[in-house]
Amino acid sequence: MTNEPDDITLVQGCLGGDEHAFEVLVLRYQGPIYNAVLRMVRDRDEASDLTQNAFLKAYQQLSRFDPQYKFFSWIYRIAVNESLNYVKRRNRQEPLEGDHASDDRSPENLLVGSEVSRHVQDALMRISADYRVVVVLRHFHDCSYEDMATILGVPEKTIKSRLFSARRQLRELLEAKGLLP
Amino acid sequence: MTQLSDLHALIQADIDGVATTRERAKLRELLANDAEARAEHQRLSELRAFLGTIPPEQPPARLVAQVMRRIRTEPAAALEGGFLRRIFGSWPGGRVALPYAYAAVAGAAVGILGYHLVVVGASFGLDAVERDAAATIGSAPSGIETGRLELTAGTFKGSATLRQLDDTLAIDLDLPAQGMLDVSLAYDPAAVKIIGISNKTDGDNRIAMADGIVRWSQDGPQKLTVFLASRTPAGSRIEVRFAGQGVVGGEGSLELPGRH
Repeated sequence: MTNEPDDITLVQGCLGGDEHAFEVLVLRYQGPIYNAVLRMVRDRDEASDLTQNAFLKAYQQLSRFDPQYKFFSWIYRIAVNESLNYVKRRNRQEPLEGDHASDDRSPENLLVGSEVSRHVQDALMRISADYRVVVVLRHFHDCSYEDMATILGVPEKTIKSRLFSARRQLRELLEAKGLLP
Repeated sequence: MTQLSDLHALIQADIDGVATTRERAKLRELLANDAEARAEHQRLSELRAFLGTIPPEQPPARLVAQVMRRIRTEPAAALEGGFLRRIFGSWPGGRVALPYAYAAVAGAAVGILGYHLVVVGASFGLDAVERDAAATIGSAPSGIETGRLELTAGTFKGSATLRQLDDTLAIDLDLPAQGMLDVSLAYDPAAVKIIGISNKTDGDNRIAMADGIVRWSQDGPQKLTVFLASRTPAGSRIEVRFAGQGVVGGEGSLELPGRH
């Protein structure tokens, strides 16, 4: 057993005026949300800003949260929408091939980590944002098809189809980089 | 959207560990007679295993504190807004152009008011401005003091003083913070126009403006003057909120006179 309050209890506490309850939710989800956003946009500064925006929007719209859904699906949905909107804005302003147009950003701000991680991120940025998001949610966050459908607001069959196509494309890109046989 | 074939749906369900016993048996049967399908299954299994080796990144150490400070200082209606850094940062060459944009905005303001101001960027066709540097400022014109707000929270004691200049208003903020302090000003953009901000303190701050809100964060004592003008004859109000390291959040408001 754990003494940690569940998400719904914390949401209720927050709606009742307990600001600390929301801080616990931020602590609980900052890692996965930041990582999901980072995988979508690659730039660390932007990922931090977008993650903050997502939590802020969640806080400001908390009264609209329907407790019959999972809180994590709801906050992921907000964060994913923030990321996708950012990617769309950037692509409108940088009509270059794919999302890897951001390669000219300062290297220290880009997701680097290990060499392998950097190559994986390069490959992710070369597939469309719609494909990238399902790979990120499935492989880096272990979301179920149902959760992904809720987060992205599309039917499960669409999720499965996108995921299969995304995996094929990603696999080819990683093979080309020599990371997979 | 292309429909997934039954075979591919089975392969994917197996890879993701959601295939039923019956589906797994059917897949085994199909794979036994189809070399291409076996290769596909193998490739996707390898991809899944490979991606599972990529470790997550640690979020920034101050992320939670930054979120909570923004929650305390930003009113809901004013969250949206494109900031200059975003606009220039995502525009090709924008990272290079951004300092020049700041310099141009500040330079134009020097010519107008004799201050290093950040001016809401009509000349750029933008509705919002952000900057990342503190400016060195001379003394502000005196004007007539028409209002004062004590900004206190625990042992923290700051102030906001409203002055009427000729056609404009000035709010002098004196915030003797010991650490990082986030401040926001919220106003009705239909009633009030922000003309610019002068920062009289050195320090690494970042000022962001959007319709209805100005916000910034700075480490250490802050002395800033916000210049604004009323758009309508009716009076309005500007709300000041602050929170930071060692400072419990506080807020207050100043009544602004209407346009003459």
